[in-house]
Amino acid sequence: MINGRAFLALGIAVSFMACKKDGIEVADLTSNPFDADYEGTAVFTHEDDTTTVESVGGAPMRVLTVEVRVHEELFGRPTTYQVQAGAPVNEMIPSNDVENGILRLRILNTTPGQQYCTQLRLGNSGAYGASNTVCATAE
Amino acid sequence: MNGAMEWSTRGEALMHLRSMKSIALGLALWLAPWIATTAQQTGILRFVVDPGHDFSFIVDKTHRLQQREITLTEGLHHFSVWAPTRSIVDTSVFVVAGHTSDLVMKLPLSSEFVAYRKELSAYQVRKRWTIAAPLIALAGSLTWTGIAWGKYADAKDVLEADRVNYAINVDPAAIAALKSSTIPLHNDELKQARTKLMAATGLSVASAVATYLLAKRTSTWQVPLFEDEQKVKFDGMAWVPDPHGNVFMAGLIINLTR
Repeated sequence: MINGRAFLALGIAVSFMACKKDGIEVADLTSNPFDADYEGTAVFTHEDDTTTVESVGGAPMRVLTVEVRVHEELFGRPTTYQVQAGAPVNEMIPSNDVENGILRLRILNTTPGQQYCTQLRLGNSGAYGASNTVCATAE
Repeated sequence: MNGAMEWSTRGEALMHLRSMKSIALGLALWLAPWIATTAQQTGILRFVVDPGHDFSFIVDKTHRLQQREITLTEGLHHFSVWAPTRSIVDTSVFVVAGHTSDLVMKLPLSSEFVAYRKELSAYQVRKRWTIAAPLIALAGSLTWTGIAWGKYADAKDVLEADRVNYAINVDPAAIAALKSSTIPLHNDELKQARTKLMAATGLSVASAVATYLLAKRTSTWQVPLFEDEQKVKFDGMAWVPDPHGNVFMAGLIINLTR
């Protein structure tokens, strides 16, 4: 009889303890790339880069083109989005311009051997989520 | 001559004596039925008593009987009538010879039985409520536990929906709102539901324990017993044969109030 009561009390205690863990810890929610607090693997990664000499405004200029992979597989579901590219690109790139998960950044007037880093932020509907920096070295 | 006259006188006397005998015999024969009936002088008394199935009576403070009618000699007779749970009623009835009379009476409930019934009723009510009250509390607390569990499950489902919503949401502003207000609000609701569930579960456990303990305790309660003092008194009022007809019983009532 004592054992039965002890098991009953233990069962109730375990049930209550299990209940205590049912809430959501907001600080633990960091897995969505559209969340500003995202802490998962990088959404943007350097895929390739090329440096070409182009004529811009009649003057020859070395242009660094960086191919960046947008890891859309990290998204919870397929969606349109925007990528805000910071300096030195300073451009808003819609998902329509991302082909097969690759977006291209053009950095004008580069110096051979210099590394150029750009902060990319994933956005949608005017707000932004995950961001990380992608770097490439001009030739 | 004298001898002849004497003979004649004796003959008349004999004749007279014979006629007297005849008259006496005729008178006796004529009065025989009347003498026979008046010598018995009995009447029948039928008992119409409530309760009619198990009453007993004592005739003339001597003979105890249990039957529905009795044949008695003419005259005034005393009866003490009693039945289980009833009071003894004493009455006298004049039995008329050659007639069947009915003695109709309703035996009142004895004061001991009325008190016993009251005590038994109080006992039953007390026992019923002692058992029923924790059962009602248990049923109520189990119902509350069920409702609380339902609300707790609903709150969990809402939070699970928030978790899914977070995982598939592609709107940073909506995600920020989800994290800053929606989920904390739903966390609070879950906490309240959990608190109510714990309280309801605790009450249910307490009610179950109380139900068990009170049921166990009431099982040891003594049921009031009825002691028919009127029976003891009635048994003491007459000689009563046992089922074998030989054993002697008597009762003695001592009035301690005097």
